[in-house]
Amino acid sequence: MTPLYRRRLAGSALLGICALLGVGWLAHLDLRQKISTDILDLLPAKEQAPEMAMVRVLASEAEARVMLFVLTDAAGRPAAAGAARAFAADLARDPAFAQALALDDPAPREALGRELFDRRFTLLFPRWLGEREAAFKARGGVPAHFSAWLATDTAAALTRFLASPQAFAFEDLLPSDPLLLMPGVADRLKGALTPAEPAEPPARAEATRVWARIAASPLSEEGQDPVFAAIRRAAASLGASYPGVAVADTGVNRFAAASRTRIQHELTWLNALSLAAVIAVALIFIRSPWRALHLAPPVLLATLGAWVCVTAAFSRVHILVFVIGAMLTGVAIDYGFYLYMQAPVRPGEEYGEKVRRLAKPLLSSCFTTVAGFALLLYSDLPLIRQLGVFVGAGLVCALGATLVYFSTLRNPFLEARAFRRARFLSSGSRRALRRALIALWLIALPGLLLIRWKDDVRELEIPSPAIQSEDARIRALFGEHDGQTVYLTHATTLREAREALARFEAWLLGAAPKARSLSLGEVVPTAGEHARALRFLRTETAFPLQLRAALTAADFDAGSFAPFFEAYARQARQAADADLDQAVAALQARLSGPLSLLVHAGPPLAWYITLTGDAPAAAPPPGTQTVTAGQLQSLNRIFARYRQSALWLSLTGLAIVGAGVFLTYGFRDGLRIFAIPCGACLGLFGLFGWIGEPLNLFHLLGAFLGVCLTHNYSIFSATSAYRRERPPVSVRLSALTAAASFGALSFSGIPVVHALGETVALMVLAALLTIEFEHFAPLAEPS
Amino acid sequence: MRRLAPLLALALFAPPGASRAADPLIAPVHQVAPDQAPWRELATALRARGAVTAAFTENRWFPFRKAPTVLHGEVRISAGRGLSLHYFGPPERTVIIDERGLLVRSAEGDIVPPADPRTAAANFALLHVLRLDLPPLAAAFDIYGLSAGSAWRLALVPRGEAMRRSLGRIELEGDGGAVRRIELRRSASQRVEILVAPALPAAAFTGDELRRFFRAP
Repeated sequence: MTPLYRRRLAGSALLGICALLGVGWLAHLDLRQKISTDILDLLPAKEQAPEMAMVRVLASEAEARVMLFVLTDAAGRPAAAGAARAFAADLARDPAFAQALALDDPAPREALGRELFDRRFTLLFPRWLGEREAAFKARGGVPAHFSAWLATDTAAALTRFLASPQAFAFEDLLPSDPLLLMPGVADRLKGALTPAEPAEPPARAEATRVWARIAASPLSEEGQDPVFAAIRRAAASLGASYPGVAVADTGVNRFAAASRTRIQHELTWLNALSLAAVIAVALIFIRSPWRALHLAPPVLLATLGAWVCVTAAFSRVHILVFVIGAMLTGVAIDYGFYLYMQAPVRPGEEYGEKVRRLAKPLLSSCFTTVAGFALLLYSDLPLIRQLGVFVGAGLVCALGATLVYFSTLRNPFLEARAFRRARFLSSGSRRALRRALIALWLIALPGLLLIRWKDDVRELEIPSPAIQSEDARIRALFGEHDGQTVYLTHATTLREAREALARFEAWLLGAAPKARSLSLGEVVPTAGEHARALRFLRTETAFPLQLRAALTAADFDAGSFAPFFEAYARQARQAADADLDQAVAALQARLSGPLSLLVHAGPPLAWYITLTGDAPAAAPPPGTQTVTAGQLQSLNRIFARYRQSALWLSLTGLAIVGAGVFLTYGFRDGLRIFAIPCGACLGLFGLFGWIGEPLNLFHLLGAFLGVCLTHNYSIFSATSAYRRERPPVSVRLSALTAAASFGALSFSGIPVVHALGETVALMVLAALLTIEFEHFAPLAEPS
Repeated sequence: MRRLAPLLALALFAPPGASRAADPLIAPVHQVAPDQAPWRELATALRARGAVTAAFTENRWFPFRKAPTVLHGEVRISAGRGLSLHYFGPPERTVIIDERGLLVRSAEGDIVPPADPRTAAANFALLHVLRLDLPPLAAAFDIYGLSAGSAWRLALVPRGEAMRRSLGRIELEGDGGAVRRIELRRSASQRVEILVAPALPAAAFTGDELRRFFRAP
């Protein structure tokens, strides 16, 4: 057995075993569970900011599960109300939906109204009493006379109410409710919420609408395909009873499904395009193109290694890691190029000898890049950490696979094509161009001061204009508009949340006295209000008699109000502190449709939602335990924080790379070597500043990678320069393949992937130009 | 979340049954076809008066109050813009009923009550009956009528039991092309009577009147 044969056998066995283990590992994984398309998985699970945890819960548990439907007949007019109810009933029966109701169906609202009426003394009386006490105090009344005043005031209010348009609607309730608890709450809610005439487009009242809540998270697969199938079934069933009825819908899951499809599509074509571009570049520059296929196994093994490591290191990996991870192709092929394209220094040079000769630049470039990506592991952002593992592990695998794989070849040398006019520029011209490049760089530098950051989490998604337009149309038919602010008041329990809501209401009243707002605070008293009402019921025993007298004096038939007096007496006898929690629970059970979003009992958090029109610009103070529940703003705030964190990491990484170069090559040569990555990075960002392109986190990630790549080229080229050789063709090939693969990413429809692609591609090209213009010529050792 | 707003006005009210007082008008012999004389001619006469403004007095009887609640105001009837009841107050307010439903206008702004089938039915009936536009009402109401000379009397009784309970019956009295009295009657002790004074002479509403007392088109 010859040494070559033994080496080939051992190498093939090693690589084969590694490949089998890797494929076996991936095969045993449930990739559907392992790979996430959920945008929330891009954010840390244990985010320190409390609002982030709430946003996560909210996003998956409440509003995000809502789907809106509009039904039209064959002529495009609103479908019959019966169609909406039949459609809602069909959806509600399907396990994919937790709830569905036609919005013109009064039954749920009437059920809620009956619940409120039945528990009016627990839920509504305390607040009414508090307001009357405040009015009495404002008049300077003596506390001892309060109940007598209250009786007279109640009779007068009832008299006034009978002259109002609402009187007819409530006339059957009034014998049970002369305190006007029910009209009062209806009036407050209506006044706060019902839009004034101009905000009430006729189309809204005319639309046939269905509101539904799906059972699973809209960002999961269970919240998408099964839901869409259920909608199709319900629509088909509807068509049998109501021919020609069309159903339009919108929901977060529609956006998520579109994004998922587009990302999966991009994953396929970007990788294919990237690979094709890399191979095309290789074929142009390589003499025996079929032998270039030897470059593929190390790249495939590197990619396999990256998949294995990242899936082993993280319980869930976001699909964007694999999209962005396409860049590994361009980086991983570098080592193959460098090793495979180095001509033997003498005929019959052994492979081991060649490896030892090239070990220093190979190892230093690989481990500097890996060290750079290892720094990403310190990021708070899961996506960055996953990328760090994916690329770092992939590069180590690439170097290992390259070294082993080429040991199995009989002739591990790939000869470059010799172009007839390889040096079509004279040395003087190159020097002049280099100086021009430096001048351009100096001009670009002040642009760094003009850099604008745009931290918009929506850039992670692929824009879907058609879905966005349909969403806006349907939401307008549901009366949604941008003028409302959603506040979320949270605590561990609902009681505590209600106390916090009272503090928030007080703040809101001071900050924006004219703001119209709505929350269940209108119908749920605080524990203090409830306790005060209990005291009144037990101690002010004269009040019922006083009220009878006042009603009689105001021309009422006091006997007609017997239902009220009986209920009042019962409440005075039986009311207890625990009634409040029971009443709130009963009320919550009756909330359906959009109303059900107003309160959440937890765990882990309980909250009340407040809708406010004309909200103040200032954020609620911390004591109110209230945050604006605008998910987008919260995510963007977090995104900005991580961008700042990534900027710090990038600058530190750059400093580490620079320090390593200065230590290895000394200050003078180190400066020249470090000028390539550092100059390309700063120059490109300066250019972005001048042209006004807003930058985001992914430009920084691109720069991070670009620095690592150009640093490699710089070291490889400097090594050649020391030997008075021209920059190695492998650097040119490597840079062009990297530019090709990242250039492919810049075609992505995902803004952040585009940002990453263009940053790396431009940096690499800038570095290649600088190297080609004999930047390292002064390093040449004296002959 | 923002879609909650229009839904929170609570339609809570399921009124109990109302008795129908015996009335000689409510008899099969007086049942009228919607397009028969003299109602067709009366409707034509009403429609010919494109804009009507008249003072009114509204008496509201409630079963738990000994005397009626009395309100005063101006009624405006527009062939194209519907019915407007302007109450002098206090507080001053205008109730507008038109093809788009009910709107209450006051110093605090315009309020559109929540969609409710019963309210919608009442508005629909009132809107058409004031124009004596009877054919659209014939599907949901039994229509009874009597006329003697220029005086006439009309009663609409809902066919559905639920509507009869919640709405009661609607009665109108008039003289020629003028409506003199409107009554929404659930029982003798539970009714609203609107007495309309002779109309003020006016050929059409001014722009200011249309803006103040009707809904924008």
